Amino acid sequence: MAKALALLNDKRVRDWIYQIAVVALLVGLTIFFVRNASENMVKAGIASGFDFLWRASGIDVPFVLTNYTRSDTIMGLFWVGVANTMLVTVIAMVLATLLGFVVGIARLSSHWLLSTLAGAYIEFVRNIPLLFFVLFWYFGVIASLPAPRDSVKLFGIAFLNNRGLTIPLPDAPSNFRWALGAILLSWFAQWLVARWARRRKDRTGQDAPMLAIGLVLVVLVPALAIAWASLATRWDVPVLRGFNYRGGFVVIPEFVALLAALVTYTAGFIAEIVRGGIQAVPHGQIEAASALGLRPGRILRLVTIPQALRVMIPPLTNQYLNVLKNSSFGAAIAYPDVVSLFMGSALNNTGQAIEIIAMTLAVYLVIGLAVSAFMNWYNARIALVTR
Amino acid sequence: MRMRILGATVLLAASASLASAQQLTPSPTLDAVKARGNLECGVHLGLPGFSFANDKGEWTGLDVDYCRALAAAVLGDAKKVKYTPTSVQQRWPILQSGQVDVLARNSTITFSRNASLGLNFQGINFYEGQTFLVRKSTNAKTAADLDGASVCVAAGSTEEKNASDWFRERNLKVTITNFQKNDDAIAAYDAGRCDAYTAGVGALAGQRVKLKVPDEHIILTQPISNDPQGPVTRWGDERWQLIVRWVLNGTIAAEMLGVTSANVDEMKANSKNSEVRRLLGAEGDFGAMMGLPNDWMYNAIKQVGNYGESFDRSVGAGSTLKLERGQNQLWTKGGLLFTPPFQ
Amino acid sequence: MSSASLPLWRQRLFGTPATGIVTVVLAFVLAWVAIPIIRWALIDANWVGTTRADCTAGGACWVFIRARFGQFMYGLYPVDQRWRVDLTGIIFLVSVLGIVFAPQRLRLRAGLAALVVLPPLGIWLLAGGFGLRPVETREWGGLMLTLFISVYSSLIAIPLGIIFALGRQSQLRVIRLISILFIEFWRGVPIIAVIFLASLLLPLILPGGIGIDRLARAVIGLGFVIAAYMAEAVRGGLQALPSGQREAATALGLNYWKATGLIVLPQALRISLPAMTNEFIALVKNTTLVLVVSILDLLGIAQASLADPAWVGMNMEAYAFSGAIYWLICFALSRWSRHLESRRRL
Repeated sequence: MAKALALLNDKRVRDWIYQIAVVALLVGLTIFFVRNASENMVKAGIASGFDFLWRASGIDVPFVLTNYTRSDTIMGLFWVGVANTMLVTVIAMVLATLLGFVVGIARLSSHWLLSTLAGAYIEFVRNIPLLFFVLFWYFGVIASLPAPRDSVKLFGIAFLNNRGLTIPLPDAPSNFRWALGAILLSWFAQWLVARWARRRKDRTGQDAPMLAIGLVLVVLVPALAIAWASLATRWDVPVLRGFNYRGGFVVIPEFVALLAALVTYTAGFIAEIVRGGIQAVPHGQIEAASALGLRPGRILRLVTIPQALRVMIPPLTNQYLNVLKNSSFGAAIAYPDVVSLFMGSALNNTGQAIEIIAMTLAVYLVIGLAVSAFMNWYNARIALVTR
Repeated sequence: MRMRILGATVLLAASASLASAQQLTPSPTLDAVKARGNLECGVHLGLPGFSFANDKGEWTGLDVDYCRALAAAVLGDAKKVKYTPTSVQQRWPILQSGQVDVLARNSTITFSRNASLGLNFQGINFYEGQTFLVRKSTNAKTAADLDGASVCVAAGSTEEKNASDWFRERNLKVTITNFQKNDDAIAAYDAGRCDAYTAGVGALAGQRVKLKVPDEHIILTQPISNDPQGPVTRWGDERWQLIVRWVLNGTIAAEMLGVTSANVDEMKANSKNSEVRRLLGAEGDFGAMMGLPNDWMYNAIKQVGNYGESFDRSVGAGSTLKLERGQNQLWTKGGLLFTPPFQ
Repeated sequence: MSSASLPLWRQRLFGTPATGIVTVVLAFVLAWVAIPIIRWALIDANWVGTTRADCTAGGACWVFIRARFGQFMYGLYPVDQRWRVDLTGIIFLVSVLGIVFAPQRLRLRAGLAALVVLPPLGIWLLAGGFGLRPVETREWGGLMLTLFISVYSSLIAIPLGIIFALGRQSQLRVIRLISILFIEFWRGVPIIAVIFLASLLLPLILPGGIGIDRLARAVIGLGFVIAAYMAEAVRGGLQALPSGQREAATALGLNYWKATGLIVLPQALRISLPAMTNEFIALVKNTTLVLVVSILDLLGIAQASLADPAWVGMNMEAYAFSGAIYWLICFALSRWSRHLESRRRL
């Protein structure tokens, strides 16, 4: 007995008892919930299992990046949703970062009116629910665009109206695959050259003509490749027939509105992160740089931002994850993302709520983990190397 | 002797109660409704003519009238209904998980819903036919004129699939945009996002009044589908299903037999027609067979009216929707509305 | 230095040619955006009347807001019972102010007492029963519901958040793992999906026959998500606290719970209060998502009011008005959070 008590007083033993108790409680709760759920489902006659994924979906989607058609399976529909979620998320992340930097730097500008306006924008955007932005942009976008008959014509091949932006689509993608290969190759070459030039500069202090090389490899070669591919391919140019333009690819207004909402909203938060990051850079750094004769633009690019980035990466990662999660607001305006297609249409047709919700949550968790992993890698790369 | 009589009486009473207990299978839903003192009814979020709450929170409409009739039959008071507005997505889970006792939400009866969602449809209270709402300026006269149009629709509804199938079968290409709620779809249509909005003829008549300028839009007359709609219950609890089914039949039978909310007292007292007498509980014990008071349909007709009265004030001539009876006329008058006899 | 003699505003706006050009461009942009808005919202707006026909000027029809004001605030809450909502609001507000301005000594005790008394009192006043007429949650709506969801979700979220923040810092490996999984799971999924999940799954996983109120489900769902964010906010405070504090407490012979409750948490919570306020702001904004399960919060009631055939085409008015309310609440809170932060820094 005394021995048992002594054992209880041992901190390690007690810790294990706590932990086992918590795990047992969790396991018990899980079993309880799962048993209730299966009982309730049997009683209600709700089907379970993942067989439904291979049933024909029969759902039309107006915005498809994969080669899905309505005769495909529900699994195919799922991938359409995932692709659309990722598309709007990635583009919104890039654009929101750009706009956020512009506003954040404007906020710190010495120009009074500019910094006041940037501040007003930030305060306005951060304190209004995102759903307002989504609805505002959606109905704003639709209302401000003309009907198909009065479309805005861009060079006679692309057409903008309240059904979306109709752009030509190549009949066969093979030439574009070659072009894409060439572009990737030339970007890889640029990366190799840049690495070589940096090492040489570290060794000898000599500058290489990186601007010219970069222009050729990053801009000119890809432009030529795309130009060649476009000229060598037959194009499916949209034509106005009946209600709307036929052929080509339609960038739907739902996409544009969701993108605009995510960008303008997130930019307000990123601007604050940028401001905080820049203010965290010691003022002496900037004074030292200007004492060395650097111009303000170069100080910002070479001294301030690289140091500010280190402070900014963790909160930026959070904002990127928010963009991913917030892309689900597209469901409110019929943007066919994974929530709207899979948790909406597919759930309605099959009724298998638990399976569908679990898969939807998994999509966000997996993409979110990938984004975090990438940002952590980037953060480690730019972290201050102390010797 | 007295003891024996008493014993026999007790025995008789016991066996009678046993017999009635054997006759009536247990109905957890009915028991729950009685214990709660009100009926939980799942309805549409807001569709004038079918289920619509005004700014005071009072519900009206054809589906709402069904809920009220059911409450009157079960609880004796048509006001004892609680409405749960449901979106297209939520309606099945809400019914399946037992949050409502019955769903009267202009939902189309289909095979796959019946077979795989654990739901039973208890009859037809509205023969809906899907068609399109378009701007007059498009000059479209039939659905076939909509080639190339973009169409707004509520996701997961039968309309989404109907429209998609119909156009594909005719090699017409339309773009269908799926909204999560009917109201979102109609708002987008009104804003110019779509050339057409598709739903049932009755629903369209209800939605049209929400547009900014209703007169600029017309409803195409030719339907592309057949969408019978009616109250829905969960699987299981057969006695509750029975009640839901026969209250609907009762309102239709009342119209057939000429019983209205105005003459129901007189009919109950004086009618020689034995079907009327059985319906209103003056003869037989039809209510008791389901575990309801015998004046179940009397209460429903007295407080809510027969099907024809409901139709008229909700969607028909007496309403803003002004729909024709059409298919929803009694079968004896050229429509499809039918009820098995109360025998 | 001629510019020094100029008035301050001229120096600021037109100090150098470049500054002047930027000023002019910005002024044009500002005028282009602001003038139509001001004309619509103020100059050309309609203020008096009772029906849509009274809106004859081209601008906003604020008559609509006046007609619907009660609904925007209380939803479908019975008109003769609305004093209960007001009373609840006043009690909460007075209590919070009382706690904030109470002497330091009493603040903690008063806070704990309020935490025990107020939530049940609020539910009793709003939902009724025990002498008050019952008002079902489906009749609640508008601003009152937005605030109710925000407050009661955070009542779930803050304690849970503290527990999981402590769990994440715990020495016990299993506890730490569970806490990390909990936090990262809820932080990784979209709230719209969680609310949907809560409304569908909660009735399924409980034993048959136990019904949970629709509103309660949304509050629980939101509470769990926000708990994960609160946990991260509290963790910030825990990490900012010098480890010497806990070590000193342990050296004085306090066990884990006493050291945590008496020494670590009070200081850590004070540090993380601004961050927690920011999470609360996010929560207020995210309550708009309950409309996916047809609960009519402020935005929901604004949207529902648009379906009224008697008031067609009031989208801008409804959204502008409800948006302004959200903005006011969130802006005030963010100012308060910033005030707390700057006080801490001093």
